[in-house]
Amino acid sequence: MKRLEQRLWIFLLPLFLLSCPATFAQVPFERIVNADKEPGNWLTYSRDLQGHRFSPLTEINTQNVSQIKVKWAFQFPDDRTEVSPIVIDSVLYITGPNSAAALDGRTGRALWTCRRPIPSDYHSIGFGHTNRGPAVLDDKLFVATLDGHLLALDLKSGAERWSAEVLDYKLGYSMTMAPLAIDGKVVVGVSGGEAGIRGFIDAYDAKTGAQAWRFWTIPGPNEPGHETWSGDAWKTGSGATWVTGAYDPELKLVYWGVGNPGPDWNGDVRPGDNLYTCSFVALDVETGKLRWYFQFSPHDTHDWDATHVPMLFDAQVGGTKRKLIAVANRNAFYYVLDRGTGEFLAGKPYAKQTWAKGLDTKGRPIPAANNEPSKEGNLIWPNLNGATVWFSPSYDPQTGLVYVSTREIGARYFKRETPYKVGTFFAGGGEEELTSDDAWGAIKALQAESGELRWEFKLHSPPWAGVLSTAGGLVFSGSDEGNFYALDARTGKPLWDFQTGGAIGANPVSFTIDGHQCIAIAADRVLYVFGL
Amino acid sequence: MPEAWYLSQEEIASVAAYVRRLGNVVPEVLPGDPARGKAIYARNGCSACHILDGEGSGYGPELTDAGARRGSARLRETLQNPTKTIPEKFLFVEAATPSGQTIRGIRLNEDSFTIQLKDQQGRFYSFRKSELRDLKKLRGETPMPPYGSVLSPADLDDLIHFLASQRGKP
Repeated sequence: MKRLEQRLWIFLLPLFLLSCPATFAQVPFERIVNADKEPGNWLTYSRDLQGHRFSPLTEINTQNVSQIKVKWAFQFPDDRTEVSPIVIDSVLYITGPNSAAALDGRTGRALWTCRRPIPSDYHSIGFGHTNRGPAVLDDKLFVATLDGHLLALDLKSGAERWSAEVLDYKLGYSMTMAPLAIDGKVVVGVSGGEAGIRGFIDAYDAKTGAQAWRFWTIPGPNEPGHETWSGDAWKTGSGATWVTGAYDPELKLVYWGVGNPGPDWNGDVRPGDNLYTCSFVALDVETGKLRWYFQFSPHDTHDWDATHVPMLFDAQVGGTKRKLIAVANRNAFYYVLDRGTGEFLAGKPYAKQTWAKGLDTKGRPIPAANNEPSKEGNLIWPNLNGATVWFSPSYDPQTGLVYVSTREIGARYFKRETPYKVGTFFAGGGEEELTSDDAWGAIKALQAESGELRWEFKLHSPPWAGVLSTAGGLVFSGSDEGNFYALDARTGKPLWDFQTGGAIGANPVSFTIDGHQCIAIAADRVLYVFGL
Repeated sequence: MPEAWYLSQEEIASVAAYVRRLGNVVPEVLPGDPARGKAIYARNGCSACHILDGEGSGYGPELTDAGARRGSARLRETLQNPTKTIPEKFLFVEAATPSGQTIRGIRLNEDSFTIQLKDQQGRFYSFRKSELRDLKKLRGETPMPPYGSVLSPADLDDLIHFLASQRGKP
């Protein structure tokens, strides 16, 4: 009898699992590290910890992408969503400002929802109410809120397991990024670069919510780097950390981008390089101590945050295989560094820029004339949103190319006096960007280890959408006019497009439902899921 | 409309004051006779492209509130040399279709893959850009002819006075 029961279970269990794809599963760190072993899931912001936003799935490919159709859509309560969903075993986890939900992958119907009230005295300073996604580890979903809490939610119900107060929003801080869950810790960064905050990166114990470490992006007195600030300017030096970083499990280093110095466009009150603003920092995962940094835009006066998803990959440089970290920076230069040391290896412009003559042998920019904001206004490329912004690039290990959603637009930069007042706009100027007829966009394919342009696909206007590449030989992205489209990853030839009806300012993801590949993108307030 | 988060409170107040002023051009004392101007408007076929008080064709900008939006100097400049004051969003384009047809019209919308046009007869067109043989953006061109050499100075004054008196629906 017992043997019969066992046989029945062996027979019935797969049927049960097939009929109930929305089963909930634990996600130990090993699953995230080994993301390539389960290509049907999307377990961390960029799918892998290396920041690739590359899917190994091949069912949708260059031969059949023209046949994909909408399978379902989900409407958010908030507009202009920027979410990049997490997908675990046929369940999509999404976020909005102070909200989260789990969606059935077959239908898009909500399995649970969770909403935390936004305090009435909360104000976003320098950005909209948004959230770019959750993180997952073990049995919890992690969500960063506008009013400064890191929430650990039960994956099965959305119930709060713990809440950590990361910051005081009344000082101008906020959180909009997707946390990064790594071995036993959840790492978060902060927004508020236009509010005169002092930026930081925090790690919390994933089980308890206790703070594990904090790295201040603006060094305090007697700390290395403090000498790059003058007087008390460091106290309001900004250096926000509002985009998700990357992690190397072998080197045990967390890589994170740091934002602009404050005030943004008036550098007179903060002479010096203003470390570690506009830099990548590499932090020891156990202690949060700085291992190395690289500053892309010393003493920035254009709001060119280095808050980008770092891309980690290995490639030949000068005949030697190197562990690399690369970024297409907001300042319009593409950089390749050694990710063990921060050594500069290569860099070149990937979009129009007029602020620098080039980079020196250490990767430091050589300033061009008239590259500063002024009272009358100076016309400079790129504009304050940069040649690319927070949305993700993609590294394709099959082609060795990096795909960058690129903005080609200049602006007249102005400098103004801005006294600091707690919790208010602290920018020191602004910009008047060129009209839409003088601006355009592109998906640019760059050779990953050098930044050499391989192809570009022009867009009608500067985009706000990230890029997904897939092993099916495809590159997906979106436009501000609502086009969601697929390009041939090797040539840039357009293969498919769909009008979503809303501006796309989000990152695409790919996963499987019932064993079949899907592509998802948020367009304004709708999440679309496509498949064959 | 994107949030203007980069503006200071002072700048926001300035922009608000400017925008309020845009919709409220102060009436001017003008030469000319608006009644005669109305007849000149009709005689010259302006309604073939413009709607005024519900009458006409919506190819060019509506003129029902032209006097509230534009001062007499701007109206005169537009009538004399319309290429100098082409309204924002009014881009004249020429599309060559796969069948060899050439369509000239106003761009209603455009994205990276498609474009939508309206011709002078009010017909809508939608094209995939990759399928067009040619697509010209006729920047600096407008279907509106210059009236500086067509109308006498007195007729021009009459027409400007008539247009300036169009303050919108009550």
